Amino acid sequence: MHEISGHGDPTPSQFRIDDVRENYTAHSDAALVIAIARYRQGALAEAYRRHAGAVFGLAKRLLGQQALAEEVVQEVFLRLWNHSERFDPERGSLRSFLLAHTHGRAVDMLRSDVARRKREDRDHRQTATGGYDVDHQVWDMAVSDHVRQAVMHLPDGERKAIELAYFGGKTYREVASDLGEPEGTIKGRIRSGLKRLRVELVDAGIEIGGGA
Amino acid sequence: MDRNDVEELLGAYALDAVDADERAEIERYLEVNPRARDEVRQHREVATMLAFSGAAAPADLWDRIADQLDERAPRPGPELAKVLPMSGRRRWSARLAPLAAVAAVAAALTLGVVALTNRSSGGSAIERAAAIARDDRDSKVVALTTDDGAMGGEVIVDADGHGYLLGTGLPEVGSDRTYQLWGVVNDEVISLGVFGNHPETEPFTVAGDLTKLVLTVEERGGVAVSEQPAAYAGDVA
Repeated sequence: MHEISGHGDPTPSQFRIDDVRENYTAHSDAALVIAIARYRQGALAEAYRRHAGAVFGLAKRLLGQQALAEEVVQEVFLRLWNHSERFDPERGSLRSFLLAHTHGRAVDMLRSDVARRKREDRDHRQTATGGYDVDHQVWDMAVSDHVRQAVMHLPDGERKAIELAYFGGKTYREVASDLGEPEGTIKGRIRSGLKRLRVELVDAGIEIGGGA
Repeated sequence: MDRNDVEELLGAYALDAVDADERAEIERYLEVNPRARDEVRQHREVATMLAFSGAAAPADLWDRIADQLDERAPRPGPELAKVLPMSGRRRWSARLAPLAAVAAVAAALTLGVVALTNRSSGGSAIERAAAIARDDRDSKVVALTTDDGAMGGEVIVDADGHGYLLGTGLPEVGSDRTYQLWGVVNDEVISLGVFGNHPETEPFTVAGDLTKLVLTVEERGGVAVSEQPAAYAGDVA
């Protein structure tokens, strides 16, 4: 295994992605996490190179602000650095692990008073844009065509419930309120929709988990 | 919520779409239900596909992260430790000695072992989880015995690396002492946890090829380097 530590004791500013990428590009995600547990900054840099785009994209989609999204990205990767033992490669891909934390943190921010105030300020400044139109914008994302097709095969009720919950950061109760449906119906649709989507993706030959 | 209510919320939970009190209740349920944990994992994997984006992160963001790494990197604590050579009286000590020479704190972290220091049993949830693990045919059950073959406790490790020390058969030691569990994992000797002077059902986590378990009695709080003989030991089949 290539190890950065053998090159001396460089300061953090000496670690840049381009400097260390070569050492870890051949590593699997699981091997990267092992190296991260050894405080190999180059390994974290490689993990960042592979997954930061997805992490940032999800955070930005949820939070709507670049500054807040960047804050989430920093938190997610610093958490991986400080608590790498929480990643279990047998329980899913590193990307899935990072995105789960990203989503959870972004939703927490969305629901916090601070974030709400910031969003209100933003909405006030951007009234002309009409805010975040979930119905028309949420699926305008860079998923592969196969994923997009699988999503579109979902019954409308399931698709809308998942949209609002995942990309709108809403609880199932809020989704039920927004859609005028019983809460029990919505939590059932979210669950059945996710199961159905998984089947669709598997049938389409897509490797689920999104590992690098 | 009853079991069906919790089950029905697994999808919403995977999407962070439940309230805080519901989240806590679901997480307690997940602690003892591997099938439900697997369902949540699958839901989150599907969500990962939805979240995929080809967007690039801002160019200077990595620099900001890198600048914080040294300050934030946790230093190895005593709970993640190596074992130095011990008394030759114990049959297993000779086997551990050469391993201990190369075992290192950082290696312990590398193996992904999470030590739990002085954790209580956590009540019946942990006991139920241990019972479920025992019933799982993929789990390994290791009897901890003295040199004379006297039973002192059991360890159960499931296929996911969740371990449970069943310490009710262990004699209580003085309040200034503690049981500490060590494992040989991938030929490295590491601490798996510090479990107090009267362990009950105590959880720990281990990743890697676990081949041997050793229980020592240490000063309260545990040690980074053990110089005590094995009180109990067992091979992991």
